[in-house]
Amino acid sequence: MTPAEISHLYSRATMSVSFAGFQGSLKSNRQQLVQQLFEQSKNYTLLSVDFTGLTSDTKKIDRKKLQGKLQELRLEWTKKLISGNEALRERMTFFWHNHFACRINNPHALLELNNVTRTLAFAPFKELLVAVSKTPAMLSFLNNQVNRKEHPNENFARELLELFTIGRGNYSETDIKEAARAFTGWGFKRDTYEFVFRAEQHDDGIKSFMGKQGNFSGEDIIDIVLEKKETARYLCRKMFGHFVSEAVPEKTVNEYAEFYYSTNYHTGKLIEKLFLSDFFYEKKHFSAIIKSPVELLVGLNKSFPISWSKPESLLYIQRITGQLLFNPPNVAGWPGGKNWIDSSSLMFRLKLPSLLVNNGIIGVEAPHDNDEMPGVNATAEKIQKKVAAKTGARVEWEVVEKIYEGVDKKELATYFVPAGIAEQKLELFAENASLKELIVKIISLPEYQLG
Amino acid sequence: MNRREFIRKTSLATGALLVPQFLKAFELGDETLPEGYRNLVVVQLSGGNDALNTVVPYTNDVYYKLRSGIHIKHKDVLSLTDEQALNPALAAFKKLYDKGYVAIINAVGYPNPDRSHFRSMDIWHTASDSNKYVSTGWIGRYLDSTCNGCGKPHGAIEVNDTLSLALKGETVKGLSVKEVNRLYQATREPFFRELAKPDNMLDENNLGYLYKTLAETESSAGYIYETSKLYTNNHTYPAGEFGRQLKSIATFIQSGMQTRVYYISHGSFDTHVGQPGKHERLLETLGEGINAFIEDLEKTNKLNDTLVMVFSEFGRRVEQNASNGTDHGTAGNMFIIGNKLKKSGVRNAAPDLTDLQDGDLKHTVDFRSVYATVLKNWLGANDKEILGENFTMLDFI
Repeated sequence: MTPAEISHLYSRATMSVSFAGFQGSLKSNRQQLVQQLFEQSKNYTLLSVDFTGLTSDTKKIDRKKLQGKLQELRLEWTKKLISGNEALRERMTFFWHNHFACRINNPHALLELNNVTRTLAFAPFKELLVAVSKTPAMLSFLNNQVNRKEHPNENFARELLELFTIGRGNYSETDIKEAARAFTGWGFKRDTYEFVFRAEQHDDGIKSFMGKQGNFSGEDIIDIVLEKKETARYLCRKMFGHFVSEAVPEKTVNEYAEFYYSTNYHTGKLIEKLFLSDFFYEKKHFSAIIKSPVELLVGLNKSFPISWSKPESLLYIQRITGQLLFNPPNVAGWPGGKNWIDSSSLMFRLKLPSLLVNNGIIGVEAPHDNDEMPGVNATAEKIQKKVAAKTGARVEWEVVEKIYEGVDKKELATYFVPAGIAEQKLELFAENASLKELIVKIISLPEYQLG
Repeated sequence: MNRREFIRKTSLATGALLVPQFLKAFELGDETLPEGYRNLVVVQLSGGNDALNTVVPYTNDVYYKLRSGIHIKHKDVLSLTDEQALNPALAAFKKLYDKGYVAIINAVGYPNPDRSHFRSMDIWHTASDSNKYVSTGWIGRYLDSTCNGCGKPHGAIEVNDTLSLALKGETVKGLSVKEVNRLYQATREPFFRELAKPDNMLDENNLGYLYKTLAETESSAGYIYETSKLYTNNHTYPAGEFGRQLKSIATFIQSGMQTRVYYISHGSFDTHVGQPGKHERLLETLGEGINAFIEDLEKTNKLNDTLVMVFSEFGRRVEQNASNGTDHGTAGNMFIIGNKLKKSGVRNAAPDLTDLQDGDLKHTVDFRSVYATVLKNWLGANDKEILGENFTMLDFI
């Protein structure tokens, strides 16, 4: 594998990797490296937060405590994304976090949903989907808790078809209504948080769904949707958007969808096939995706040993850049791509790397006579110092310089930016630059915002 | 390498002939504003403003019956019509009303209302149906529609740290700025200034998009910084964040900035507990702030070109809860403020408090009718293209 291919794989599969991990992979072949990623994800720990003293009924506990636990949950996962050994599994969990986007205030239920997607991240999709559908988080978020025979609530059925499985344009409003009937009676016990099927609230009449008739249960509905190849195509298209590029031709989507379908929607096998394929390593896919804020933040933490004296900054950054974990805008998840970027978010994102690793200073800023704005440097420095104190992020450059000692410019560029940096540009700002200056400049480039 | 060398080297690599046509958009146009350069100021009341305690149905027994602990006393209200009156905390706002500067639209909402703050706000921002998920906002799409997407970020400015979905278009996104100096300085960082040079922008993929946004931001931040310096605003605004932000917007307008839409938020109106007092303080800030803003603009003849629109993501439940507060509801009211209203005053019937759905008001006006009217009749835009369908035009402007 070329260094660029390795950098590309890690960027997509694990939100980047430490430089040692990158160098250690240089001699591996594709098979070995992909196998290693899966191997490392075989054993994993669940995310855990101590809820002692919190009742499961959100109405009874005070909001402050609840908010505190939610923040703790976010922080714990952020840390796990950064340093968890099961990096591929965490990345996949992050994909499902966006696919099964859930926005509720109950940290307990959110933790459970998160762990369900972690455990079944590579499992056949049906297992995952059924398990997710039975979590109190989804049952309450999409109102299935109040989906009863006499008053069917269509919310869950609609999102199941539109966002979780087959996608718009492949079902009718009647299909939604009939599917909602099949899911009546699915709920959870408020005290124990267990899924419960309430037979007395279930509509056991004949339903007519996607051309079939029968006394369908919720699981039957899921089976029928998964029988449609369009569902495999929808899921592959979505995964490509996260792992390959937003513009994958339909021909390739179909090819992978056939495979996914033939394996009974075995997600692990699909991802493995993808990471082993030549298609994945086509050059045009390198650095073709705008990193999500969480990917950007996690990646920085993997490349630099940042110590956080105020860990809550990790959440502040997520909020400001528009991707606070467990806080998707709605059930459709974060829109992603160019939606991450506007004037202010871009300026913040470009400044973020230097803020976290070098108190906001990009390279050596020799004082210069700026007649457009005298005093800009002094003011900027003041602000930078203030912000650096605020972030509480600290990097020991002696340690960093040891990590990257003796590495040549080009390899450094490839490690941080899989597609590399145009030679002309690299020459331009790297001339006479110290290692530190070179690194901070590379990660301050718009190129680094891509993965 | 120092900055001079850097510039010399990059300029060697740049030939003016190589600059593609689309980069022309980065160059600022004519700085002098034509007469009647209209702008819209959108005020978002975050958290769900309790419409019924804002515009009070003070002659309706049902109101007093369902809100025994939190109603506004009949003797205290500022009467508007036989049926409706303003909360006394809106005394400053009442002055504007009496001048004929205010249109009140009752029972504004949308079909199949969602009672979640975030989802409902999403719907108001994207102007979508409640069962659709759209990733662009209505003001953003308005920017897209102006001069075929050559609009600049400063075409719509939000006074805030982050940019709301409402201002994000497909090709153009508005700009959020809380402190002009801070944004300006961020873009003046020498490293970024060099990157923002046109020779980095020949690429049309995601990388090109980032460089293009960087260049636009640099250009817009410079424009806002330079332009806003042209006017010193000495008008007095009420203390606090909301007043400060309104003052910024007034300064932008008076300095002649080429911005069509300004966006600002005030809140939180999420009054589940102990609403009396809390709600009044919020309303007072709102009324006094807007009153100062209108006075300020009127003094400089800029009110002729400015229209203010106030909305919230939903109104609140008709019946109060057990904690002297109100829970999430559905339809609410909107205010349109300016001196060019075609018809002012209370524009439609007060909401029917006896015809409820799950304890909530039924909407009689779709909020997109208000958007459509403002887009077409005030901003001269193609409302159908922006909103995706035709909504009934209203008569206030």
